[in-house]
Amino acid sequence: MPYDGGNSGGALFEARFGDGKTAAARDIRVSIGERGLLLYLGDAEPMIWPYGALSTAEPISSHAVDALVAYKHMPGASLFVPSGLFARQLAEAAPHLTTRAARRRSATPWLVAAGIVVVIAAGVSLLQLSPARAVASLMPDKARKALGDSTIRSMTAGKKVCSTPAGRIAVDRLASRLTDAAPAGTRFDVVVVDWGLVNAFAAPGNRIVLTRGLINEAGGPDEVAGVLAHEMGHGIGLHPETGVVRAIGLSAAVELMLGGGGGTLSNIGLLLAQLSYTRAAEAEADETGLALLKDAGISPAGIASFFRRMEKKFEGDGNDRKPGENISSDSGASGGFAGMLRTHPATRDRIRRIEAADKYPVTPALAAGEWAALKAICGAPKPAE
Amino acid sequence: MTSNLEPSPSLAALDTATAPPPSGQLEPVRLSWLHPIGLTELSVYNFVVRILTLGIYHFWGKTEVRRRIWSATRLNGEPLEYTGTGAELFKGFLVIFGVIVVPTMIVTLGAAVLLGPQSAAFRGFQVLLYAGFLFLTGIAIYRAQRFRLSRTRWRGIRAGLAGSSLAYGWTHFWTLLTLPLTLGWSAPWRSTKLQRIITNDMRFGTRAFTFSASSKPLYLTFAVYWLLMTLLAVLVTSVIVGSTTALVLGGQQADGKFAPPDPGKMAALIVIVYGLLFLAGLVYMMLSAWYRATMTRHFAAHTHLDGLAFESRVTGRGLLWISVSNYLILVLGATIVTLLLTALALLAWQSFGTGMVDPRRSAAIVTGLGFVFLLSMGMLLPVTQARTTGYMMRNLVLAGGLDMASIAAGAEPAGTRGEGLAQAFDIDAL
Repeated sequence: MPYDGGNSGGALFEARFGDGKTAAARDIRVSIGERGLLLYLGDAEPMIWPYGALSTAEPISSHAVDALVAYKHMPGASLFVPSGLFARQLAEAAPHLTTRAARRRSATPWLVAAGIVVVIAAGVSLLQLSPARAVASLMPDKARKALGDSTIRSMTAGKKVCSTPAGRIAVDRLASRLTDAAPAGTRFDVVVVDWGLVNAFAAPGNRIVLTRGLINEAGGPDEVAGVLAHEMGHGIGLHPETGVVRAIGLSAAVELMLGGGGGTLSNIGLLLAQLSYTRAAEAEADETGLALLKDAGISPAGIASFFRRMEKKFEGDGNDRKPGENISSDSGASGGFAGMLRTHPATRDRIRRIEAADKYPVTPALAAGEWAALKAICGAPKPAE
Repeated sequence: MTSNLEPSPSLAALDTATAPPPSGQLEPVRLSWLHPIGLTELSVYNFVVRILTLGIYHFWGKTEVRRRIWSATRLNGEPLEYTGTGAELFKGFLVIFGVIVVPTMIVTLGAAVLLGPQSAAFRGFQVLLYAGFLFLTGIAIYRAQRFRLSRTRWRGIRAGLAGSSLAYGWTHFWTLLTLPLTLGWSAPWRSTKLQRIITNDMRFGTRAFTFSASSKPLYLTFAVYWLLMTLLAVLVTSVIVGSTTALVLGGQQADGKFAPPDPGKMAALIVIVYGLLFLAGLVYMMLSAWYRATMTRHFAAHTHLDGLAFESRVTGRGLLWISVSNYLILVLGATIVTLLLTALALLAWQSFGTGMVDPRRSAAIVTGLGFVFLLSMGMLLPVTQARTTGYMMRNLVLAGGLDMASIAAGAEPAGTRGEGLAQAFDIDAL
């Protein structure tokens, strides 16, 4: 080949060239040059397409049997070379056209971004920051009330609400004695449900549900007061609302991960993310609850003895049952009291801590008559089941 | 900014003003299919990276799959080119998310709070919302098709859709309402009508496709299909109703009251119902294959591009085989992934676990595995897409030819944001 300034190429390949202005195409020759493709269009000098400005219709793989090449500075023009050898030589001359390079270009930024997201998420959870909690605090009261209503409705479907007048007076007195000590204006709406399970939970919008089973199991009004104070701690700390925000965020995240095609799957995701509390949230509810008890002048020994008794009954993961007792820790809501026992193997430490705390002047949470009324709030006790 | 509501800048003017004079030479066009190699590996790679990038890589993976499938389709040996990018699809998705999904969530929550979740007003709101989404679906279909066509090139000439997505969306919506009114009999008429709009709007460069089919010839095959589907629906409904009634009545006690059903029987009922619906889905897939084949052949025979005629040779049996085998491939992929994950989880449990299995936990684990299974059903989707497209292309025959020199490059592609449904709000127009 005569020397032509370093532009001589290798073997000539047959090709089809289209200028992109019409669908007509012409047969030409092309070769792999040093700095670019050389297109022999029939004029004296071949047209040069530098490798850096080339793109192909699909990234060149090792299976390629041809190549469709475009040139950045000639939009619409296309060069089709039906030769696998050409494709491989082009891939060597212009590595950015290979599948590996293409995938790396598309995948790398997102892998890096995902890595950053994971680091941030780990940081947030390690530092116990709670963006969900921040969002929850922005929720308007009406929304919280609506959420609370629907949560309670779905959890107590088919169950009767207990409301003997004397019992209700007792419950309300207990609740207001505790909330008088809380930040100004805090009011809790306590509902007792005719349910044999030993359970108590806080719903969004300052609502609390206690069960008949819990009241029956309690050894005295101080124990019920202790449980109530703990649940109020959850409510004051906006834990139920935070759980809902987290669940919505999770559902939106699932939606994103499935590329917008989630639909039913994102609903399942929502179901899976039940209202469960973190250890930090439980600890916070504990502290708030104990402070409420102290300010209301109710002894914390109540909650301690309740824990002790429940722990003995549950022995580990809550599957033990004593005959004749309708106790189950399977509350379905792991945010409930029973769930708390399961997520807190350190209950014994808490009991010890409570008992070791400074004593303060106390009076019984309820008078004897009120306590009797509370125990009977669901009407006459049912015969043993 | 040009509004995307109007058809592309006056097509008539474009056809005569910039189209080069016909050269009178018809180049015959031959369609062939070069099945892409390495799609299984690509599917697995995309799946893994999709998970690692929390789903975002989905759009780039999809784009590479499309490039492969487009390049497999050859006209006179030269491949079709897909020029879309992952970034376009991603941007479109972000816009849908920000403009439709999130506001809908917020508005629905707001309406629930203001109107009360059980009130008639809220139900009315939900109905309106649903109708709105049905309407948007038609628009989205058109826009998605327009995007894909505008990102398709052959010899540098783009394809496109020159019509209005609003017009199509409206037709899609009101014809949908005729379906329940006619007990489904308007379906062939509807399909033909919608196909006519799309085909007549389709462009290759400056040349337009034409559609000349009527829905009448479809009705014979449709009648058979309709009868069989009705029989299937009646059968399935009566089995479900029958077994539910039997279960409830079976709990009738001496005093005439009904005891709550035994949980074992309840579980059995649920299994029967879901199993039946799943089987019904498979049967539907089978029954519809013949009708779909007839429809495809009919439409192809009445589609033309200048001097080019189309003939499809797909058969009911062929479509059926493709549908069933594709489904099995997807299930196989999902099974392998779920089994792998279960094996890994068991390994981790052995090494690090406490050894105790809480029955509640195991229920959650099984649900989680089910979730994983459903998620990974999409892993081998590229493989099945290539098989379906390959089948359609291998059975498509072109007759006649095209005067290549008279096909000039068309107007610039509309929209730069992929198939984002939000383009339904014509954000470009603002």
